Amino acid sequence: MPAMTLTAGVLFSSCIREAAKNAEADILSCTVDGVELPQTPVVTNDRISFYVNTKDMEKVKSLAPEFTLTEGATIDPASGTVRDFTTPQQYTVTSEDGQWTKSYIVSFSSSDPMNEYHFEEHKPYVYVDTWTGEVSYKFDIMYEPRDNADTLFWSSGNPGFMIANSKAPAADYPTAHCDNGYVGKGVKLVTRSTGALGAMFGSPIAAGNLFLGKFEINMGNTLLSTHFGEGVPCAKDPLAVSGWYRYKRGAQMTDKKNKPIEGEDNFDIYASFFEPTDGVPYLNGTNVKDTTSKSTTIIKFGQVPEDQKIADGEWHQFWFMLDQVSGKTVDEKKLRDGKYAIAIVLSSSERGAEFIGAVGSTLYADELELYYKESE
Amino acid sequence: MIVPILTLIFSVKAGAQEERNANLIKSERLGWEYEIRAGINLGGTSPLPLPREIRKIKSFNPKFNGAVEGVVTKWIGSGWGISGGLKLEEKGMETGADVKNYHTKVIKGDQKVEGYFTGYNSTSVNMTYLTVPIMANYRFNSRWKVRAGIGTSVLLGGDFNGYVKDGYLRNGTPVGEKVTFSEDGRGTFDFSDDLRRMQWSAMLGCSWRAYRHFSVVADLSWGFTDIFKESFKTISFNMYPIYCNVGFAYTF
Repeated sequence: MPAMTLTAGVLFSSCIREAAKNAEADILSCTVDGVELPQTPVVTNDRISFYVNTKDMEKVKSLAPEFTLTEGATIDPASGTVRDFTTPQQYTVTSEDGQWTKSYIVSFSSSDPMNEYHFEEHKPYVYVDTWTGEVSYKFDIMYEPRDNADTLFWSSGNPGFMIANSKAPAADYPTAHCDNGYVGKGVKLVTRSTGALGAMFGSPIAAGNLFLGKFEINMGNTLLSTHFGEGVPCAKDPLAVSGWYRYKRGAQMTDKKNKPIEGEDNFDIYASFFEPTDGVPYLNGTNVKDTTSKSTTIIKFGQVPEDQKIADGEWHQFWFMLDQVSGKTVDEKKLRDGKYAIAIVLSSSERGAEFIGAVGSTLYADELELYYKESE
Repeated sequence: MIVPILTLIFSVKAGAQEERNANLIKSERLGWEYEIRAGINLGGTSPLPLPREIRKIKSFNPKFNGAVEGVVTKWIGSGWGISGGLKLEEKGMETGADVKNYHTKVIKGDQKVEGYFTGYNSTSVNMTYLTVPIMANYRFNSRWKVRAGIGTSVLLGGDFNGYVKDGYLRNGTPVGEKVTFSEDGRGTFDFSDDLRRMQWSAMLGCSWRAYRHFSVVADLSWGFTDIFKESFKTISFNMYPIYCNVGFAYTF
């Protein structure tokens, strides 16, 4: 039998044809001269975010970023073209086989954190079915406009919910905008059922969540999908977070097998200020609250205290300090150079990551503020 | 399943051999020949030619596929004959390959993603067919005979499943969001429900008579209908069962 396997292998190998030209059109990495980059630019499937020190923001008027692409792909305008990045610029990448194109928005922003989050803006996540050409509005993406026409995007687990519930309207997603915020619009997080299929596979609920960072589906371990604080540099020493919320619990708590359990649901809002390293470039569901282990990269952590969590469905203000993790200090030089990052996380079920919560638990939030020490 | 049937047939046969009665001899004189064949199917269920998406075959296991067949041949003179048979056979294999931009649909946990996968793909095929081969036969001499014809097969049961790992799938299109799969974060697929029930194949074979009743046989069966239903578009290329059956025949 092994001899035969070998023969078959050789037989097949001789039939392997020349590879087709690449169909992918990715920007794999990028660099730029003429300005110091305190942190590695963040590359997603359709956005590239460069962060520079505030003192360098003047220089973004004329920069020529260079891109590494999928082999054989081309980019327009060409890599190395001088452009004005006071507003984000668009690039189009065409695959080697010429069949596929992808647009990227390239932006430069200050590595200082935003200190006010108003939740006034959202845009649709648009999905185009390549085969039928059908365009559908899947869910809301919350964002905050920034000074130089750049925006800060909030992330959520909505892309994960979309895969299991492709037919759901945007308002039925766990995370959506709401028109009745505390001031103007706000954000609404609802713990949703993922349906019979979800229950069968041990993820019967999806808590509404919203965070600063990036979401990238990880099929093996959903806790790794949330990249907390990725691409959210924080060149200021954060002190406290405040904001407005109203919360109502869902009726019945269930566990990951969708079995009713004792107890009541609660929301969660917290912030982790950390130092991205090569090994741990961002936090994820496994370590975002880990302030005790030796390997933690978290410098400061804060969370809405239990006695401030009121579930009467009325607007209340919350406020919490970020406390220094024992044994950690804020290095002034690293701070100035934008070597630290921050993740602010909101969830409609505090144990949502373990798929424990009550369907229907609803958290509205608005007017978040991050207080930080002004540099001398 | 087939091995016990084989054993049964042969034990029944051993007894029947002595009772080879006058009727059989008479029908042999009239040009009728009865055979029972048993053997194994070796081969693959494969796209032809190999599509460009397949970059490297890393493993191939032909599996042990049993086949048993009853054949009746009517010799009509000058060495020519026509035969019909009824064959119960398994066609299966397991293969692992590195693929690039391979269109598929996988499930991981409660999530289902369809798109273009680059990485390692393992496929296991196992199908049981009931086949009716109709063939033209030619007898060179008392030892050698050859045959060619077509086979119509009905799928009695089939599995087509596997997994992907060590790679990523682009959701929807080759420029869609990347979904990564690792060694312990595999995605699985099962297209068993999409297998076509009827299968047509071209057949070519020969027999060498070693003893009066026993022959060695070899038959190539080349499927020319895609193993999947026409409505099935997830795998972008057609796959054909191409198997060689080797075994023994008992002539009554």
